[in-house]
Amino acid sequence: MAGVEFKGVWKRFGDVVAVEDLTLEIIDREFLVFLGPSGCGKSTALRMIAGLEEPSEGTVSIGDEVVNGVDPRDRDVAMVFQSYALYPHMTVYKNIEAPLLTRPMEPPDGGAPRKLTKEERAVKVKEAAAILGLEAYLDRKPGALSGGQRQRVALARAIVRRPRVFLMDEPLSNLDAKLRTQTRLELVELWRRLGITFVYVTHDQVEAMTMASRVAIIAEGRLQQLGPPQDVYERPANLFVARFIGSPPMNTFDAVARPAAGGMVAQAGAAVVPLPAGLGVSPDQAVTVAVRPEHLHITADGPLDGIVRSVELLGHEQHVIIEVSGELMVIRQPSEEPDPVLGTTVRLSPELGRLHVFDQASGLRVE
Amino acid sequence: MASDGHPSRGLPRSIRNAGWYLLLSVLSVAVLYPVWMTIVRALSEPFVYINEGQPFLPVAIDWGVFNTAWAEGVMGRSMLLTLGVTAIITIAQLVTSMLAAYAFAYLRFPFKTVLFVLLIATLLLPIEVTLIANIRTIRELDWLNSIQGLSAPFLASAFGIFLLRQGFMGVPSELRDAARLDGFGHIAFLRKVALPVNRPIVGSFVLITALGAWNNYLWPRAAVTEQRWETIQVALRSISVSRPERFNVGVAAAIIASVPILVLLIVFQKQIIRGLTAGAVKG
Repeated sequence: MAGVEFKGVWKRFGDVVAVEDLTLEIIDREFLVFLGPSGCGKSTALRMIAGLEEPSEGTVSIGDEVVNGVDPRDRDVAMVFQSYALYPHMTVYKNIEAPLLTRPMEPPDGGAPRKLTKEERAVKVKEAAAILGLEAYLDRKPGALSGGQRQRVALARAIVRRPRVFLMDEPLSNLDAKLRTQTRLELVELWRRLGITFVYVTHDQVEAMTMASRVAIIAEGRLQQLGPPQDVYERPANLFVARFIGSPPMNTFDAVARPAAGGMVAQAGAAVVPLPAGLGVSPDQAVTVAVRPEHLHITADGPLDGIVRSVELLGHEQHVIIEVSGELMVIRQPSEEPDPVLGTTVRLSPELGRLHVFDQASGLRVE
Repeated sequence: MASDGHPSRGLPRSIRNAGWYLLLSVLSVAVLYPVWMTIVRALSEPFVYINEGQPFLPVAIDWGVFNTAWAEGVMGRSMLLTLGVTAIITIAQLVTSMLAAYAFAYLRFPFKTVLFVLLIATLLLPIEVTLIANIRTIRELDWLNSIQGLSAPFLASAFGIFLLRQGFMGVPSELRDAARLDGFGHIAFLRKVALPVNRPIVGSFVLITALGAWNNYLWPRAAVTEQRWETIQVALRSISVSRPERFNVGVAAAIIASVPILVLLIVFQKQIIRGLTAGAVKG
């Protein structure tokens, strides 16, 4: 078992910087999710753990060992790919057995690692197949399996040799929505059962929120924030994270901090929104104020006003889209609330304690 | 495509089908007619129709002509020799092509593109261009009338390297990554993944090479001076010229010589078609 550590890691492809000065410690046995939009460098970071890419600068360690320059086969990591990457000409059994053929392994009944016999390999293959419910498909070829089944074979192939670190690159994106939900639960279950470090790459925040022990949010090659999913949701470190996490995304508006009786306020045009007491803003500081859709309400005397543009009914809730000085804001409210009339002007109040304030110049959170 | 529901967009399906069948029939006749006439010529007593021209059906059938051909030309020996040379050429080309194709597809090395272009450029050189230089080399090595002399110029193939490289490049990169993590080195990946995944291409390449080696005429004709080293195609010529008045014997010998090829084609026809159309349609 082992953690993974990035220390000052850069990865450049020609002039393109894919990963910029990444320093990050993945704790032993945690489920860490790299989350970010496509092309942000999260897969490159994962591939550097696997050894499929070498850092241009900095070190990657697995356990206590720096693995720069170590061949992928000698890193004792396993990886599941988005396309599953099963060997199409081999049966499920042979696919799962493949990683056992090439390296010394601990035999099923314990003892020092050595090349396994056919019978010993069979024990391991069947064990992995049983964990993923694949016993009935061992003689089939991947072409004869459904997407979900192929995905399980890929997982079985990865867990069969009990790697120190388990890497997954968007493994659920080829599954349909229902199967994805189910597989999410199974992956967390698998992680608990195996007790090894999982590193998981996705652009889907629902996957990150539901599975991760900690989320590392990456954009444009840089680590934006690292923390438990709820922390990231409740206290985004910068504007990028604020806008990226949450669906519908956070509402933001630009304002200027002004002193007023009883503390600071954010002034945006005619609107004046009181800011929480003790906030580290200075007078005349340009800020961006953000509030989640569930923390913005239609009230009779709110500080903001806007025109109702659309109402989206989702069954259990409704999203009211309101145009506030040219920007669209979304309110999430229970569907029992009365439907606002389209085109009417309404007043909005954010929950004071739920406001997020960011410095406009740096984009960083102001506490 | 026009369907039956839209007659205005084309001819009715039955007429279109009839058209296709007609075309295919004409093509089949064009291919089969020479084959049939060869059989007719082999079986017919040559002097029967020498003044009347080629008949469509055999005249005065003589099955004994095949025995005569087999005995006269020492065909058994030639065929065995050719089989050996064909096997050597085919195996050597497969091994050299797959190794070179692997390097061109997956490895990084200096001047890779230039080398590949040069290699492909050799496809433009017909064997006739290099014939004299090659014969001189073979003579200097004292390899005239030898197995190595018959095989040496054909041990590597730019066509094979190109074909297999294309096949290898079609292997998804994630599959290569997975194999690296599973611990496969270059040879293991080639043997356990790249080749099996490209089996249709490998199969058709082997067949094309074997056919070429079996049917080789110009090189063995130049590299052999003794009758006992004649490969089958050269031997056929010897049979024809030795008894020009009995040309049906020569034709019968040609039919015998084509039997192994026909067997190979019939057994592997599926493989060949799949290989030749590989990449044409996305699987």
